[in-house]
Parts: sequence; structure tokens; C-alpha cells
Amino acid sequence: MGDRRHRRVGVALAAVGLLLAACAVPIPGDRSRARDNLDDPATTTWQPGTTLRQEVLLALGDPDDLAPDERWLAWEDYRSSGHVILIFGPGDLGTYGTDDVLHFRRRYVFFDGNGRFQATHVDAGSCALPPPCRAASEPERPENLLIDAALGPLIVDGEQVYERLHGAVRAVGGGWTPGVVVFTSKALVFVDRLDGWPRYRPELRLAYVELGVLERVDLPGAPAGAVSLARRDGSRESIAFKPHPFTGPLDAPPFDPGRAQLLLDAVRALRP
Amino acid sequence: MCLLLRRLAVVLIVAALGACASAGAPPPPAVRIGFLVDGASTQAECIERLGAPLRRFAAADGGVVFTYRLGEDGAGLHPVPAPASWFDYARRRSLVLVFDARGTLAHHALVAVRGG
Repeated sequence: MGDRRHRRVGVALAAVGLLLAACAVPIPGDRSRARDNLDDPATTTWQPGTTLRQEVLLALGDPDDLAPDERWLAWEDYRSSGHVILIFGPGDLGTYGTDDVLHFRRRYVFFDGNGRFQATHVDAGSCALPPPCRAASEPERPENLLIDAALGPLIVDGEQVYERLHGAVRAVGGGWTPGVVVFTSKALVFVDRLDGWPRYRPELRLAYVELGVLERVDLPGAPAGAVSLARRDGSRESIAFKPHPFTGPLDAPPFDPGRAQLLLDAVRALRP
Repeated sequence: MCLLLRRLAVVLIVAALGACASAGAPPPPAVRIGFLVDGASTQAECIERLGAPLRRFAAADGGVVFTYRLGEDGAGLHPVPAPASWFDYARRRSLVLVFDARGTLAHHALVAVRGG
């Protein structure tokens, strides 16, 4: 017991000694793509349906990214924290370096068809360098931000959003309503895609613990292309997916059996 | 030993920066924006003095918005020919010009994006 403690103290002292003997060379972070005006005070004064795109541009300047139809513009701030290289010398003991971390923030601003402000969301995260930094360049992020904003009130403490499957439809009455299936750590949520604003509205939440039988079903125009999710009380919901790339009309067959199977597999894996 | 390594690192960084500076093309000539007067300057005059804008956006009531990216150094403000070359400058500005439907400057702003 006492020997072990002495050994631990010895190892710790040796580590401290090595650190003291090391030479630390600080490598400054990369600020070449940093932006200081992402949180301009004007961003808190914009009014949905009133503020014009030109007013947003006058506040933030030329955007770094934009939708082809200019329905959203984005301004980006990338900066890395820098790192330290420890050189142990003068012999061949080697070097040790801490990781550089890229911190990114993107402000998306959404507009209606008349160029009037609708909403703004900031997407932020960090990832270890060197690039490619997948989290910093994930596609469909503007749409996902809108979906997450719509989901916000439904998410309970400790619940995490895992994935969003675009191109989904759910059976309503005799037809199909387009939207997005969101997998969280506790439930499957169907978010309707609307023509107006807000663009997404969560309409169906199925907690995994409440789900009974899950099966692929044949529906008119969708052989084995739909998934039937039965609740324990016997009520059912049907969800299907359009094949990639999404071809119109989104709310009509044919549907993709492969993506239906993906949904089934995900729910089975997440169900307690 | 440490001091020596730090000096070596500084020398290498300075040498690398020098190599980059000498390899690049000379910056575009500086422009002055004092001529911009809301309600008086025209679209044609702005293009003549500042060059073509980097982007154009539709503005309210048939107007148009021009955006420029400008790099600032001791010589003044330089419109950059491509979005990426803006990041060669430590001080970055964005010039936004809003014209009405008749092509007269209605509003303008020089936005400080980076570097105070």
C-alpha cells in the first residue's frame, strides 16, 4: 500500500519535472476568417415582416453565404484557439502538442419572398483541427436550424436531438402531409413543413416507450414503402419517405422502401 | 534553449509571411468613398469609382443593393476582386450601397467587419 503511494508520488514528481524541463512554444490561433460584427446591436431590433433585407445588409455587410433564391443569408465567424508545443530537451525525448480547436459561429437570417426579415438563428460549435471539420460544413444546416427552433418547446430536460430525416410524409385523413422526421433520445417527432412562416411545426410526437407494433405496410402507390407505428392504445400512424433526390410532388407516391426500413431500424434501436 | 527555439519560431513565421507577401499580386489601388452622398450619388458614378460590386441584391420598391468587400491598410481601402482575397487583410470592411429605382444612392454604410 505504502509502496504504491510512493510510486504514484514518484511518477507525479517525474511528470512535473518533465513539464518544468520542457520548452513551451505557443502557436497563435488562426483569426484570418474571424468576424467581429456577428452580434451587431441591430440584430436585436429586426422585426418579422417589417425589416427589409437591405437594412440587414447595411448592418452586417456582404454575406459569406446565401441561398440560391436569397431566402437566407449567412455571416460566418471562424477562429481557432491556438495551441502549445512542448519540446522536451535537449535529448531525443520528443515533443508533445495540444490540439488546436476551431470555433465557428454562423448567423443565418431568413427572409420571406418579399425580402422581409422572418427570423435569425446563430449556429455555433467547435471541432478539433486539422480540417476537414465536418461539423463546420454540414449541409442543410439552415433548414435544421429552423426545425430545431420549432422543436424547442417540445424538448424536455436531458433530451437530445439525434437526426432529422428530410423528405418524409405522414398519412392524414386520405392524403399525405410533407415534413421531417426527427429522432430524439426519447421520441420520434414528425415536423410538418408549411408553406408559410414559421416554415416548420411539430405536429406528432411518439415517445419510444409508448410504441407497440412497428411494421412496413402496403398503401396505395407505396408497396412496403410506408411504416405503421402502433401505440399501445391501438391507435396508429403511417409515415413514408420520398426517394433522394426529393422529386415533386412531395406528398404523393411513389415512396422509398429503403428509407422506410431506415426509420424502422432507428426506432427499434432507440426504443427502451 | 527555450529562448533559442522561440526566436527560431519567430524567424520562421516572419520568413513565411514575407514569402507570402512577395509571392502575391500587388493589391488593387485604394479608393476613396468620401464622394458618396445619400440622395445625390448615382449608380453609374459608384461603379466608375469603385468598380463593379461583388454582389447585387434586389431592394424594396424596385431598388438594388450593391455590396463590396474592402481591405484596409496604410494606403486606404482596397476593393477585393474575389471574396476569398478579402481574408488577406487584417482590417476588413464591407461597403453596402442601397439605390432607389431611379439609381440614386438612398443609404450607404461602411461596416467594420474585422480589425476595429
